[in-house]
Amino acid sequence: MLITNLKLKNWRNFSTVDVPLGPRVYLIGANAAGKSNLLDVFRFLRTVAQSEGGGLQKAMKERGGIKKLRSLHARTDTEVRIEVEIAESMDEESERWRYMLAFKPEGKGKQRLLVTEESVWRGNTPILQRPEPADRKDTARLTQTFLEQINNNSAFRELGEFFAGTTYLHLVPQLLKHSDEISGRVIENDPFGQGLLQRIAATSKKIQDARLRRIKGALDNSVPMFSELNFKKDEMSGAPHLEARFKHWREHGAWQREDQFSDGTLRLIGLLWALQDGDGTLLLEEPELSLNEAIVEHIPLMLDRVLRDRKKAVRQVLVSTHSEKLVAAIGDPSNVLILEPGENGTKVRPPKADELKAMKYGMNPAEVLLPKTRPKNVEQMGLFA
Amino acid sequence: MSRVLVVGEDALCCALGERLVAATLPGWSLARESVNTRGITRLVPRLPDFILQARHVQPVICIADSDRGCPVELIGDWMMAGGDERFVLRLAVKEAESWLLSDPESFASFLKVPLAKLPRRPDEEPDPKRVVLNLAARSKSRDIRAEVVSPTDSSKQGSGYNVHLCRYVKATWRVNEARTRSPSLNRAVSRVALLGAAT
Repeated sequence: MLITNLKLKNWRNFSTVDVPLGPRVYLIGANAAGKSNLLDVFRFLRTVAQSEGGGLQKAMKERGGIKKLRSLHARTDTEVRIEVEIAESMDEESERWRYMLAFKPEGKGKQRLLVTEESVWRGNTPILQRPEPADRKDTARLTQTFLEQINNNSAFRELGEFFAGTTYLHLVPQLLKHSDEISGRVIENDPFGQGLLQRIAATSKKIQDARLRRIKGALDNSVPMFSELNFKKDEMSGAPHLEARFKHWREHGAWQREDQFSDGTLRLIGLLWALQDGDGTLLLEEPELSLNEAIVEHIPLMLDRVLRDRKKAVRQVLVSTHSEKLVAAIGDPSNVLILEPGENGTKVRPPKADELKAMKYGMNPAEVLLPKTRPKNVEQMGLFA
Repeated sequence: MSRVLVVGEDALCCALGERLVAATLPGWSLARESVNTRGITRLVPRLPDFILQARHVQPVICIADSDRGCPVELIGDWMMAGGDERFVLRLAVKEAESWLLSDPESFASFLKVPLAKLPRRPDEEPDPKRVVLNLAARSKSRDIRAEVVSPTDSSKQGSGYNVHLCRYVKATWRVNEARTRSPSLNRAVSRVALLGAAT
């Protein structure tokens, strides 16, 4: 499944958003334009949809309450609304689902967060329309979505499972390398990749081997001197480790463990693993970090290649990026979404017709689209006069 | 309204191209932010792309330095790919800096150096960039001295070289003044003006 359209109202720094989405989405925007905030919609829906330890109230609490989540531009209308269209594939014929969730604070008393609308459509058939009469009688029911309740979501459970299957990855190599010293708490769903080794360990041997083989194939071409990649359990402690061998002046090369890998190698391994792990929407935050430019320009191809080889259905990937090399290498510029901050919040838009024309005839997306995201007068930065 | 795209081999060339448009094509606007290819070696392989752009989207003005040979030969070599009348490739003689030196009054006051120190025939200077660095090193302004010239090697540019010189080109450089002293700039102005006449 994939999300084919996203509509938002008052979500963080967006007053309104209405954009089509394809199987690959590249988000570009200046610092603080809201790339991560846009990705956060899908993490929010994931938490809402998790029937174990999830739900609307949990998702809101994780974000510090509605006041922090709602757009500062929402002055009179305080409702936050999320609407997504979902399809099995991009095929026009494929049936479209729609899930709509709106909520706002109660406006009195305990200021509970209440659902103001929750609806589900399958094609042209309404499956759910809340508030129902029972909700009006007992407003406590409105503190929860039906999406999070197994008793109430049987007619659209596949949607809930789809939302819950979303993966967010912003791998921080230092957290993985120094996990012993910092004895870091792993955040739920492990966005920073600390639990990568445990996840690899929890995979069956056969699948593990197949995935590592694919990762090795990609590393062969991008990390010089690299020759072998193994996954092993430490004989003494049982702790899982990645080991790589690098060609070396010594005949048999030298084995290194993950804490000796470069940040770039680790990020690349984490990225390639995440691509193969799971089916849900994959959110990648700045995958270019610590990678050599020559590798970065192959990220779009790497995503397409690894995901094409899967036997399963299409997997949607949303990537936030600042990298000129990465954006320049995007094959289909209509996959780019541009975030433009303005007085009434950030606007999100696909490329315009004249921009698409310029890219059709010789210009690359980095040349045409990235300048739109540059802060004005950036040349004056560093000049105080 | 007519639009044009500027391409340059560095930020300075882009700024010069933009000023050329403003001075020579009244009423025209820039199609989009200028494309800085960051180096001549990355500009040359893209020439067919820019010619395609000129043919199908809007005229393109491409500005580069000619420090590697005679401009006429270079233009000929590069345009073998088959040019387009809406594609203008202009090379500053030696380096783009010679065009800056061609407006000596405003450049001297920007650099805060005496006017008499500036060369009379900038296009004939063998190394105009060196001239700019030597001038900047004698500036009365500490920012210019310290940022335009490398603090460790006075023959190299400092970290603020492009920022300061682009600021100058955008704010004070006078195309019509400079073209009277630089034949290569004068030819560039005439060629760009032809774009305006053609449409």
